[in-house]
Amino acid sequence: MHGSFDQFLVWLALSVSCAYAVSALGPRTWRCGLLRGGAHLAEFCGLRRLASRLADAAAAKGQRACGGCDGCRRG
Amino acid sequence: MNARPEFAAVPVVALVGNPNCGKTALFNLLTGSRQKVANYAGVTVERKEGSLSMPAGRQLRIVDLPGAYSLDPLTPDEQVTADVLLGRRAGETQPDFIVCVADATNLRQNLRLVFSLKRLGRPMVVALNMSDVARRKGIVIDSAKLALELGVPVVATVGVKPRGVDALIELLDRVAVPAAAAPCSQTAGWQKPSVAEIERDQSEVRRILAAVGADRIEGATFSDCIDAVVLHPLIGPAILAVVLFLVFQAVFAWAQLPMEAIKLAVAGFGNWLNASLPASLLKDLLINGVLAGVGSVLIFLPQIAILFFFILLLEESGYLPRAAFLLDRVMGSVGLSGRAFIPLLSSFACAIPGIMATRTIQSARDRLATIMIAPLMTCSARLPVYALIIGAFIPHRAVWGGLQLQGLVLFALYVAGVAAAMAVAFVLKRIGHGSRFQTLLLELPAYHWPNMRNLAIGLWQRVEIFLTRVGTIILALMVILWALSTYPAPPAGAAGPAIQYSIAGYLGRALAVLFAPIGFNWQISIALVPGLAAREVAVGALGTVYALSATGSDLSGALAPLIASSWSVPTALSLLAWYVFAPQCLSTLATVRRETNSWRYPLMMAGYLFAMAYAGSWLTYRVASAFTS
Repeated sequence: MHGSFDQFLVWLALSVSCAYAVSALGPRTWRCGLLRGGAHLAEFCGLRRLASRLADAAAAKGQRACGGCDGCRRG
Repeated sequence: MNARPEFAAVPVVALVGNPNCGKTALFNLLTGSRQKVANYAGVTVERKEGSLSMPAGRQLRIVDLPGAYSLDPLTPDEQVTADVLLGRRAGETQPDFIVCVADATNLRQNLRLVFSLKRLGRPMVVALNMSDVARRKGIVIDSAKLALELGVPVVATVGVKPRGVDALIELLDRVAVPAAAAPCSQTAGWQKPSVAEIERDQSEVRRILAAVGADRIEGATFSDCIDAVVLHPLIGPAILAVVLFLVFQAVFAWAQLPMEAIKLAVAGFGNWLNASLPASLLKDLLINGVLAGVGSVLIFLPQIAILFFFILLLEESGYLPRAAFLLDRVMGSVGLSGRAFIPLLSSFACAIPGIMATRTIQSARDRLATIMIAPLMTCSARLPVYALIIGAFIPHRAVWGGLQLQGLVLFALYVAGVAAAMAVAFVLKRIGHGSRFQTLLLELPAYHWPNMRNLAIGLWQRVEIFLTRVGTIILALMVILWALSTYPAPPAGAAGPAIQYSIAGYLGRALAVLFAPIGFNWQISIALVPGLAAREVAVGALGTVYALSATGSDLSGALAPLIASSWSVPTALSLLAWYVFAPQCLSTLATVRRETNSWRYPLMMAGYLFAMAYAGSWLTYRVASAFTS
């Protein structure tokens, strides 16, 4: 595997993991900001459906504030 | 939750009823949701919402509300119901239509709520739920006559059968559910009923019961016969202890085979990755980061599934409220209300729903005490940590006539958590002067055979939650931990594993200064940090750290033998003691902050748990070292 491609894949995985960890565990304002930022980025890239889902998720995360036991994912 | 603009015109139908009358089962059938149902009161403490498509194509928003005996709330969960129905809840649309769910086997109590709801002046129907159980008991209710007496439509439903709500859907389709969410003048001026009104309602209930043929007083039922044994002051606690003990035995005895299968699959996948990928950073991330970390946690899926299978079985059968009854005296002696049992029991799954379930407790002091001790109940996230250490250090052999030693140790750890909780509750009682004993008033549901559909759904939900956590937050944290354990690269000519020169290596050695007195090495110290996000992450973190600490071969799926050879027995016991009291995960603290509306209590909780964990581990380490030296 080419060295720089290898580095790129590893850093991509790390960036996605960091973003997810902040979104899942960080303060509510961080989560909302991150998800809204993601929505803007998706819209900029022309991914309307993804942008809409991220915007919805940003709104839902802001309201839920459940603490994160994942029980709310049921149903 | 605020209504989204596109839902503003959709009529809202509220499911209201006494606790444990089957509202959530109906809600699940109507909306296709999979909310938790169980055979005891107080399972739903927050409003839940779903949508129902009527046969004619019309949409309805269905709201499931916590159980209530009246609109004059005594507990925080009843307050939610009253606020929603009276239009006092900020950002909440007042229901346009009410479905009053009444337990057909206990109409005497349920009709009082029907009268309260009628006074709201909202259009409503009565769903006579559990009508199949009532029929089996010989209770035949004339629905048409009941509808005439109450002045509202009445329909029979069976919340646990797939087609049990057809009649209700047909009725909702037939009666015109109003579309506009106009505030109701009667609810705006609603006042607590006077004593005279309550007495009038009660005599009206008696008259209606006689008119519809539901005033027969039942003799001793099958449940009463079982209760004569199960609730016996001496035999009852013994049965409870045996039941719980057997559950923990099964967790180890039954899980061996599936655990071995998962371990083999993880190791096989690791070997395949090792052979297929060229040497690269990505390969190292996949094998030593992702697979070693995630694989170490995934192995414990069978044990978690078995534990929840038994908990769900006990919930479904109706045995759990009996356990609350049996433990009321013990709980009362340490200053807890018997109502604390269900929240504390929920905390064995996860402290968060347990803390939220304290809303069913009337007294603010009792509620706070229950919140403060809820994290001491051994949540399912701690099970992988216990299972890993027990599997590595406790011999897999039978003692005392066939009992599994590993199961015994696991049972002892759960008992230690409960004992610690009782001790803390006792101290809180002594600190908070003026504590008074709260009488437990608890409805004991009838026993019934567990509904296999509910059991399967409940079990699948727990498995799904576990797998989701493994595939999301645990995976993400393992990737981050791998990066922290890999960068920066070791200097040229450095000896020993590269992790020692990484950020995680330096952090681990710094923390090890704090944890050395309780026997923790730098690898354990690193694992405790991501363990604050979710306790089971500590197992994955140990998997990653040890995989990176090793030289050469792939270690994914082989964590237990590795720690068995590199930790001393006192260290292992000390870590077990640490996790009995372990400072809870951040999500729990966030929930305590929300439920108490103050940072004071989560900070106090974190402080006292850390102190107890450190003291418990120090003592365990010292005593174990003295015995093994």
